[in-house]
Amino acid sequence: MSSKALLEVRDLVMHFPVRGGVLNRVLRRVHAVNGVSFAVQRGEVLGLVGESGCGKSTLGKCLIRLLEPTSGSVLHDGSELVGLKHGGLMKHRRKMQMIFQDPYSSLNPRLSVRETLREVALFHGVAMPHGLDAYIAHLIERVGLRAEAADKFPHEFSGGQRQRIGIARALACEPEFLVADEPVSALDVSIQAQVLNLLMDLKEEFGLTVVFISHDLKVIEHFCDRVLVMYLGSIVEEIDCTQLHAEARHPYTRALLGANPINDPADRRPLTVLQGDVPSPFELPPGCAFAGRCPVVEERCHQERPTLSERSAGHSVACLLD
Amino acid sequence: MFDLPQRTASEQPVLSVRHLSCSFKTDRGEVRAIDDVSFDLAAGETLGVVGESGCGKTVTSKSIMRLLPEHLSFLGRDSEVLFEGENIAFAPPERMREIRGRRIAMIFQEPMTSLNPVFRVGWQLCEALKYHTELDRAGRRARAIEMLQLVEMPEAERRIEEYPHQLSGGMRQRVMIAMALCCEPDVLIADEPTTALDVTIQAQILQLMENLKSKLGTAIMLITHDLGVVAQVCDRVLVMYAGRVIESGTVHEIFHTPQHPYTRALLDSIPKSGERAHKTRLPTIPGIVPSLFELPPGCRFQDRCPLAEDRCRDREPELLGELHGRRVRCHLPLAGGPR
Repeated sequence: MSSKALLEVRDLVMHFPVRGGVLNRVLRRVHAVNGVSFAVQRGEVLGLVGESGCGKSTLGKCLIRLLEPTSGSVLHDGSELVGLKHGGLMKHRRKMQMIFQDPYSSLNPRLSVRETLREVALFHGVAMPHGLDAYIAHLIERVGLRAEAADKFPHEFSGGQRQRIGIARALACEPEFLVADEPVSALDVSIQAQVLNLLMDLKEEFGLTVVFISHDLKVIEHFCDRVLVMYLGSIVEEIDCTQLHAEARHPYTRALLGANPINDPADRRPLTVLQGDVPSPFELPPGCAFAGRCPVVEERCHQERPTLSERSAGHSVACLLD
Repeated sequence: MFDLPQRTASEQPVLSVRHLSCSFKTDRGEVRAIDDVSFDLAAGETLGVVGESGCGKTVTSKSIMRLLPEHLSFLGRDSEVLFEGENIAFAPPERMREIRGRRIAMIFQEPMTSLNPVFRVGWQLCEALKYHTELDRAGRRARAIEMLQLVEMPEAERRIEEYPHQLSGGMRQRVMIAMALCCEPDVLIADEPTTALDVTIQAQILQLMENLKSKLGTAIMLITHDLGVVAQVCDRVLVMYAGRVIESGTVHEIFHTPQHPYTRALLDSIPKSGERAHKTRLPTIPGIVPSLFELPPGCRFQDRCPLAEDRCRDREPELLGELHGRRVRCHLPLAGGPR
């Protein structure tokens, strides 16, 4: 992999144990992420798309070590994050932050916006105490809120404004890498457009590298350079966003594209409908995870597990039939 | 969307809503959540109701169903909800119970909170049949299984013995639809039926609703904020803003020649697919939807409207046009050139 990658992920696995019974033993494991490898280049926006439960949020949290992966490695600028203790981790954490889907539950309701931002800036030593007020005022203005917002509490804001606070909080320690987990999914379309524009501007201004998680292909296509399509904890396709419609080859990616309603009544077409059910994340099938719903499935798909392999520059597919 | 024979909407609408207003009593005084909403819904037609959160979409549907708490809300005096010619806006509760579920049914957004968690799915399906039909116990069970099969529930016979928490989100929504359709209602009100679901499941549910419409001739009122869904399944569209209908017309008119600046801005703000739009700034609507307590003077959209003039601030425009044709509430409607 290229040496200028900001983040490199190798064989990342995240299994959550489910405990129960009198002895609180591990009864079974949720296989959330099953060995994914990819690199995030400096300055790029990488999309992560998939249905709910495919492990995209778990993967996002592993990237900045909000979760300790079961195995595998995450290299930030060449140094290993997995297994780091608190002190070592904080040096990296300053450079990597996360924006959450629901800004209401991810902001402390008892802290005003000023207090929230001050905590971040002081903890990471980004601003000196005497320059703090100016720093906070600048941040608030930069995310498009009025100066009065500083002394308000999260419940006093609308959803879109709260997401702006979430963004200000993430930017308060001047990170270089952001994981945005469904940052616009809970917002109305007109507000969604405002927040997407803001993220686009901030990305340029701060020179950010972004991993953008969403279930909405339209948003991913608009905002990202490259996209990873996930299904049941594995990456099934990696492709450049501009080629998505023309070149996507994995049957699951095609199904996602086909199920997305087009905003034009003159262009009505049957939406792709997948039959069958998603397999249980407790016990993965021996073959391809998508085999049960795949429209072009063959016998060997049920036995053999496909691996992600490169078909052309920047385009990888995990499918036996391709 | 699903290659259906072109259906001609019958002359007589099944549901006619006239001057529907609904106010809530709150700590800060009375607030009118929807104001003078009028529209018709014909058999076999799908009407899309679109708008952002807080514009009154759900209050409209719940007012029609009379599902709002009576001690906190009241309908305007000249509100009319004509169902087959009968005004049910002020009908007594006994009459509403005959209509609700049997003639007009509703699907809610969150199937987990609208299904009862302590009863089996089958029991909940049979309950509606018990009230509205003459079927005996075995007949009701058979009908419940039949309905679950109709909504393509895998292993329907086993599933009716399960509890809601044992089902996935898509399956729960299918149970809701089966429940809403088990008495073959004339009108189906679907309030954000696919919002909480993945696109692949959404495609299944939309296809299902379309099939049922063509099989049973049900009139559907589809409330959603997803304009893609509207473009794919609706015949006519009602656009709401801050409790008012601001534009209505056929789905082609609304999408291709929007006349209200709000409708146009809403359509423009959706990310488009294709290379041309990649990484460009999206056109946005400045500001946020006004609070119903602090509506701007004049037109409710004027403080966010790029075209607003003095008269927009002085006087609220009327909703002009034909009830069945094109209507727009704007002093300065867009010329209607293609978007």
